[in-house]
Amino acid sequence: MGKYIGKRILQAIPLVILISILTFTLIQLAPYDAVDSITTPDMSAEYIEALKEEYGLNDPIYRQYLAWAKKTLSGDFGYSIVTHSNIKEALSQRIPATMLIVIPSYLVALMIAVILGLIAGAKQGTLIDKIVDGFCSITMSTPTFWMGLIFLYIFSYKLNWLPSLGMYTTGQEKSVKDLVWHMFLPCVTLTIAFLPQMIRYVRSSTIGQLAEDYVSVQRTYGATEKNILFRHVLKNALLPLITLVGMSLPMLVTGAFVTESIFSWPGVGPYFLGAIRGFDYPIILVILILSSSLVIIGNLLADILYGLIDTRIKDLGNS
Amino acid sequence: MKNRRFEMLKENFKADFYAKLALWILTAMALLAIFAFLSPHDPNLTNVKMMRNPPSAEHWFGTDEVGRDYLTRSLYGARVSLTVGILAMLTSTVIGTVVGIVSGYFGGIVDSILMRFVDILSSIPWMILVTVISIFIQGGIWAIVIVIGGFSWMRAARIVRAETLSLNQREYVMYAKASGQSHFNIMKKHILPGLLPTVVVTATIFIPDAIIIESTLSFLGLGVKAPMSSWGSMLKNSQSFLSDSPHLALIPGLMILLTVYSFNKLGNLFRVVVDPKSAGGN
Repeated sequence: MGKYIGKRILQAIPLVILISILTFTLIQLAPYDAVDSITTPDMSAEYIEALKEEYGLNDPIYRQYLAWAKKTLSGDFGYSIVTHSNIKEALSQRIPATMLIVIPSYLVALMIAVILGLIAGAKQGTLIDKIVDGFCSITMSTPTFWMGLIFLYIFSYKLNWLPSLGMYTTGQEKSVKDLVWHMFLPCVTLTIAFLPQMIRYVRSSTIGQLAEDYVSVQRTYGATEKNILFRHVLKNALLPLITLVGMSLPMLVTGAFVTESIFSWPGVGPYFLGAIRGFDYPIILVILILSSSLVIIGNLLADILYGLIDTRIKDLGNS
Repeated sequence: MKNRRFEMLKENFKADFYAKLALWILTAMALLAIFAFLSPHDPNLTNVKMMRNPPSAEHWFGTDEVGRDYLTRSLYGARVSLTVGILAMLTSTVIGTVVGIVSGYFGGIVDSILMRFVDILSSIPWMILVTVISIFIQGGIWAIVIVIGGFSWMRAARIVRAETLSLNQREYVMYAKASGQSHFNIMKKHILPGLLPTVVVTATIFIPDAIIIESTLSFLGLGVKAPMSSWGSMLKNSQSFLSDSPHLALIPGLMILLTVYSFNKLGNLFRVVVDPKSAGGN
């Protein structure tokens, strides 16, 4: 198993390096450089030249790349061109804000999906399966942003039950209750957006398990359907979910882009979209490399976890 | 073989009410989009006297924020959304198929390089990749088609490659190689036809995705720009008037929902016929 993990890590590292080179190339293509982002019009040309020297912009390109990689790895992400603010500071506020709505939504969706997927899979072809399938087909065909808009209209504008914007009510003291109240609509939207894919995953996994030999054996021994489903199928059907959860790691940063911008939630989404509109490339590139690394790490984790559980893969690594 | 599949498709289609409904919806949507110019209202004629009117006998879908007939606008929006969806599908399918065949057929170093490239592109979260590309490529419907279609062919490439690898081992392909046919001819005459069912399914399943992506990009202001409008950009405009004129937000969204649902439905029908194993899963 150790060999397998080692091999997978060795495969992931060049990928991260290649993406960082790609990102760095994009920086080089951009019409500004890091010094432009900190200069102001009243600085003298000599001072700017000295700054360029200090930042190493006159060095050969591979040394610039190494210096940039070292800085990025140590968490120094530089400054925004538009607002001159520190990107690391901004992200350290925004990533937790995004996680605050993504994690609860993901967990709730996972729980609902396990229940509905298991029932639909066990009762394949019945009315309840058709209802669940209809729900999946419809939510899958609904753009998330539109769903958000409709919720906003119904629950916030018409019924006036829930607040429409931001994390806290402006002018009020910050309280947990207020926060939860504001989290509600974005979380419901996200949960529904996550659901269809998860439900279908659990459902098809359940159907696959029910066709296995051990289920027939259990049936011939007279085990009840309920017993088979919860004692045996549940465990085996949920194992592949680990892959799905692992691959969802990047969602912690990029999972709520659209939802955040509809509800003006101060997460990574609006920050990134603002950067895109203003061509604030240092921010764009930091998020690009951060989220890509999370994708690679997530896939790696999923593979390793799955390998730890499924012995057939374990053997593969040793051969 | 092909005929049997076609018969099966026809039978499945006949037995499925929702699939028939989906085909009707799409046909109607396409015809309405094509013949949108027959509408008695000019899509660009503004009228300050009737801004954001609710649906009425004269304006079935009401009017928008500058008094234009919303039904006519929606139909012209359908043109853009459907065109982008189909063109992006074609772009993505062509690139994915070519990369997949070349990679699977030649193998070795060509395969390694192409697949590492696919790995890199797939490691960047899709939303991020597409938004970043959208700032480099701008202007008109083709820009959006390139942004969406040009950067979403990775999955298709992987599927086609896997399929090509297995076709490569077939005897008729080996004979063709032994008889000294050119690589291009073998790929075109012997491998591509075998890939067709897979390619058709992958392509059909991609159209609804492309439509949702186009609408999302346009909603975020990164896609279709005025004076052109798509369902997504109509929704973007409606956002400011949500509390007073909900019909502006409701209508384009429902059009997207109906279209995407119908494409998904038909895509699944194709998939079940081509790959019966997946039938249990869906």
